[in-house]
Amino acid sequence: MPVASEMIGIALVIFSLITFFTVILPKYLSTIVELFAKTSAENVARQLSALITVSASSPYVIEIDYIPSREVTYKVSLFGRNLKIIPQFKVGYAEKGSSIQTFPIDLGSYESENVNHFHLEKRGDEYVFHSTKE
Amino acid sequence: MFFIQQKSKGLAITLSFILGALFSVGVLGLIFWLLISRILEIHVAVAEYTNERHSINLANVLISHKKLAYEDEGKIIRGILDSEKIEKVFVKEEEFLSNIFSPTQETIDVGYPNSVAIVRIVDLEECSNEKCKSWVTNLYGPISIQGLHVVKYLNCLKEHIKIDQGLIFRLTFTGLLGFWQPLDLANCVANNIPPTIKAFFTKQQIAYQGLPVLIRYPDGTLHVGRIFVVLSEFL
Repeated sequence: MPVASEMIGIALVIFSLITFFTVILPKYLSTIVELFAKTSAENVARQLSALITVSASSPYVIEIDYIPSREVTYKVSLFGRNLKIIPQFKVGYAEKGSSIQTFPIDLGSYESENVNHFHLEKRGDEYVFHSTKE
Repeated sequence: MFFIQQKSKGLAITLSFILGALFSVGVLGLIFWLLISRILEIHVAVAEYTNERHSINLANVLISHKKLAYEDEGKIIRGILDSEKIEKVFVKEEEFLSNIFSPTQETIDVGYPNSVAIVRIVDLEECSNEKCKSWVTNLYGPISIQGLHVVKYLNCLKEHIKIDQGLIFRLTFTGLLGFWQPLDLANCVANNIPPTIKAFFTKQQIAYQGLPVLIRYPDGTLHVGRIFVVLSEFL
């Protein structure tokens, strides 16, 4: 009987390891990768620069709100038709590198830290860009 | 006696189970800790046709620009271009090359930094000998050092220098390249390669189809046309 109990113990260990490696870990990793791909500096800078450009195609009034993530905040700078985004991730395994993307209209200069809600407004020829923390 | 034996058997199974479970929890915890703190690193490389996206976006901006779009009682009509306004900003296609170094036309202050865009508007209803009436102009963006792809690439390398336990191993086998992990180097290239060079290697068509527009002439007639934007971004 002690042999049987050992067998049950080993079987449980093997079962839990298989479950961990084939079900829990891939699911966890895919969630992490998806989350960080969406909230990475590269993605946020590209999305935001495209939204800035799109706002210029509106002849009159347009308001755009973009919140890439409620958990991750960013440092944002606008200068000479360039947009620089630096993510402020709290976890060690996320990429903290910055991204610079371009857009074709003049928005002036702007800088803000620790924000995740980007608001862009165009009324006629006037653009207003500001950002806050959600 | 039988009862006591059963009781001790039950105790043996429970202990074995607890030890096995604790062992497995310990192993999983160790793997998880190693993964999060030492192994897992997430880097994002975006695969997109930047040139094409920028061309389409620029064309969208132009078809509602007040220097090109037709105005009806002071209201800009997006997608309908005024031929008189076009004549002020664009030159006829056959005059484009002679006009390129001494432009006499008005300019539109729209353009990506470090780029040149050639914009062509074609009237598809006024064609003869398979050649349609068309106007051309070029748009320049401002020069921006920080927006240069070379500078962005160098910035990316600077931000991804890795000084960790594996540095000596990497330096031994790859020399100075050991300061970076191979995936970091690949991502810096993928994210910062100039779109014009990328388009050349991927044989990408740059906004090949253009956007449909209507061209309104002074007599009120509307012609079907297209606006094409070909964008070239510098290094």
